[in-house]
Amino acid sequence: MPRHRSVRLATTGAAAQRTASSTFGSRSGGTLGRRAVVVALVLVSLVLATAYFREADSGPLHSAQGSAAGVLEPFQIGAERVARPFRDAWGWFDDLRAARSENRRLKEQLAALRKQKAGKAVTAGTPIGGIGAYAHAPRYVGNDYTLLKSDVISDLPTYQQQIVVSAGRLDHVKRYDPVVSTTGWLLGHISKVSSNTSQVTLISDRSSAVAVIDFAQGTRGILRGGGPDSGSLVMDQVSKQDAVANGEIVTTAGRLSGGSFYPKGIAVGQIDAFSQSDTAPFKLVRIKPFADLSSIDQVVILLRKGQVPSLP
Amino acid sequence: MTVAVLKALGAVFVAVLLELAVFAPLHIGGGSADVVLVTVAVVALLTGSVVGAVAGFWAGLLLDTVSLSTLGLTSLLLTLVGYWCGRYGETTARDRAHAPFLAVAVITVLYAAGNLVLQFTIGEPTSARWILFDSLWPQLIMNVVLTLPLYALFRWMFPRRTLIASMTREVELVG
Repeated sequence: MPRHRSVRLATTGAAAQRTASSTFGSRSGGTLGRRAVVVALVLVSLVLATAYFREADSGPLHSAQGSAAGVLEPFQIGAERVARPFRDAWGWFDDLRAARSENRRLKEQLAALRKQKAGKAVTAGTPIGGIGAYAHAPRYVGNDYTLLKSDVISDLPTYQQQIVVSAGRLDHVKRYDPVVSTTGWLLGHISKVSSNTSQVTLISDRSSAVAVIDFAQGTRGILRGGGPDSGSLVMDQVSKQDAVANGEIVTTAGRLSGGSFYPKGIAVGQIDAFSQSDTAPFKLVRIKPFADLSSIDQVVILLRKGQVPSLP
Repeated sequence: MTVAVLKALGAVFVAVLLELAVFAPLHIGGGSADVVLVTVAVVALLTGSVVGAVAGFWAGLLLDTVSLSTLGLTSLLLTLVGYWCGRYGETTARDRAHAPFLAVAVITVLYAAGNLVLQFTIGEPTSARWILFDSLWPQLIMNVVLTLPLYALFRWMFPRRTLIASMTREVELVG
């Protein structure tokens, strides 16, 4: 009889319960106090959001957030290290399930890359991503970049495809630095930097735009993310006259297409499908990224030695 | 009250670390469990609306800080989550076994809807289909499953007298 018990508490237990009561003596006072706390917290949240949204990246709230993130970073790294064996165990079972199809896909990619390398002469010093790119770092980055390997410390499942890595301004990370996987596939770019951590916007984010080129055909386009609900990326602005073919490798185009903060030649993915209609001005080309963008543990940041190129 | 607030802040801090290290990377069926949301809801149910709102605000602040996203947005949503669950715990949810599960299920849906509205408001690219359908259903199931162990844990951490102390502020002598 829970309801009956509550009534007795209200009618006969008032004197006894009053000793347990603390700050607010009456009903109106208690209600008022409670509402005041909640309204104050909501107002603080709104003020924080508005001020943060309006201020520049060097503003006081951004700086305070960066400092606080730096304080929290050791806890995040500690929790990450404790949890990693369990996550790895889960990942092992998950990978085992998908191993056969993954193996077939990788063999196809390898064959395509070999064919591509045989067909196109890659001159010495030309940056080229792909399998083993990180292992061949000096050739890959040339003189313009140095490499920094970093752990992913936050990958919250939001619609915005952004992760946080454990390297920041103190590690010479700058905004717009390109980010690749440890195998050399393009992942995205640095979008926010604090003293010890940085936010990476992945190429699957809806706001991402990367100048890319179909390596074999020479077809250029803009790679756009489709968000987490799209399994592939879209290569936009591809003229109907340009040739494309399924299975061909797409890499970053560098600055030739009018301004890009990604160096030329980082492997992005393979053409998965394409179509065109009479009404649409461009071809619709779908790209399947090489990197598994849903599960990233470590990244490699390409630290730019010079200034960020001016963007279009 | 102060002890309850401190314990709630500690519990939320641990929940945020668990979320980042364990739950967020585990995608099952296109979604992942939100242990922070469940923690705020359960703590609020057990401790009342004021502690719930404070715990929600703190949780949002931590999440926005570690993910370097817009400060205040998650705090706003989780403050309201904590307040609503706290009021539910102080009033109709008393002594009802299904209350935590119902509260978490309802809050998961409302939180997703609120998040969608806020993202649209600040002009971030977003997708109603993904937030309200694709990722919501697996998350809803996982959150409800998580409620059982978390409610048991927090009921031990926050004895019932915490909520009674909160409720008696409203007691009137009626006879």
